[in-house]
Amino acid sequence: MIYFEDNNFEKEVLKSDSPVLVDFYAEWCPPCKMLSPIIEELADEYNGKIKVGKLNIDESVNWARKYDVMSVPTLILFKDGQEILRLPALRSKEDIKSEIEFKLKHDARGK
Amino acid sequence: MMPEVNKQKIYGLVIIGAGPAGLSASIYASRYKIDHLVIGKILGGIATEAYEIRNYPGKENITGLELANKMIAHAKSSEVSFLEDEVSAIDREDGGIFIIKTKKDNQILTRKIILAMGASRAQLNVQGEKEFWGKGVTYCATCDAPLYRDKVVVVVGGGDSAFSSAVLLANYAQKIYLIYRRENFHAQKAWQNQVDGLSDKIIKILNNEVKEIKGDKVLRKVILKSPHQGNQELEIDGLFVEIGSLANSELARSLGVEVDDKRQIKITNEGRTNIKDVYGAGDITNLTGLKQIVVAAAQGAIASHAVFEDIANE
Repeated sequence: MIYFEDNNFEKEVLKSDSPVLVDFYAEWCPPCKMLSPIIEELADEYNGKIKVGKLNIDESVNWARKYDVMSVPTLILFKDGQEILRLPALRSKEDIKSEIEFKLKHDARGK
Repeated sequence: MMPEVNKQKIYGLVIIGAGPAGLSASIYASRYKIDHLVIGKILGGIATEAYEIRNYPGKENITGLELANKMIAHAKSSEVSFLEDEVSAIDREDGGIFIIKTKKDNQILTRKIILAMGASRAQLNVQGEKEFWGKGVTYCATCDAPLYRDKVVVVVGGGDSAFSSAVLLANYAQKIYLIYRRENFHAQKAWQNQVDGLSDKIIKILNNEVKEIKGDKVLRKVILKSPHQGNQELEIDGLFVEIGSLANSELARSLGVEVDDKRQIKITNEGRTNIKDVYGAGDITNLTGLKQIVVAAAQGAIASHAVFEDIANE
């Protein structure tokens, strides 16, 4: 599992060639723990096509603040350095996949 | 070892829902040797979000996640198949066999069904609610209370979940407005006393409902409407919605199962619905207004017992 932090976020997320799904989570949040295995499965399934990783909002405060993350878990999908989709709260793997795939298919900025 | 899901065979029973009701139904079905499958969107269900549970017998204090994980492990200790998937449709053949279709394109055949899909958090359905979800609007105090340290927040609701959220938030927030549209709160007395003891932080406002949520990049204010005083505006950083839940009964209704005016499925004391071979358990049912984990677990046991009896009498 990739962990994004304040010092690698720009390189790994904003300058990534592929879309990036970031799981903003906290250690103390029960639904974050429920989401964790789903995130690992998504990382396997997308296998590089979409980079999938986690960001601990208590440790990497800067980016969590910059993106106004006020709920955990929150998933944000980045493409070409831009936030293109935000999914707050725990949801099923199928829900997450269908939201992501719909967004990537219909993203006007797509290249 | 968990057996694989078999798409050819006809199961004796499929339990839809993997919260406390569904997991308890599975534990009992295993004891009754009923060949069954559990289909659940999220193992553990909504109970995993509970911040602390102090009324489940056998454990004075446990988090929702811990208790759910224990139930999952217990249910999985028997040879039962679990399918993490969402049911999209249920049809019935002339012969009475149910055909369950799922979002991941699974098709499962079964003779009987226990409906244990629980309930979802109710929304306010006001302007701004969707837009600021995750940017100030939240439905999970356990998840988000610590993010509102020294902030001003609103909790909407008048029952136990609203009061317990306000008490939890008092550990973090500077000021909490507890807002309810009716004339009186209906939370348990123990919660009401706790909130009254925190009156330096928690301000109770009755007879007001949320009219609109406003902000820019994030939530900034809420507009309240009162029949007597008109509108008022509060500058806030967060809004916690705790106004109860709605039964997830769409699939049940598609099967012809009767529901009440709250869309909860109607069951007998034994867990049977008006449709033969369809049973119900937990928060999805109308049996009691007491929506508690211990009640859901008991109802799961009762429903599996009814299934067992009906199989024995066939």
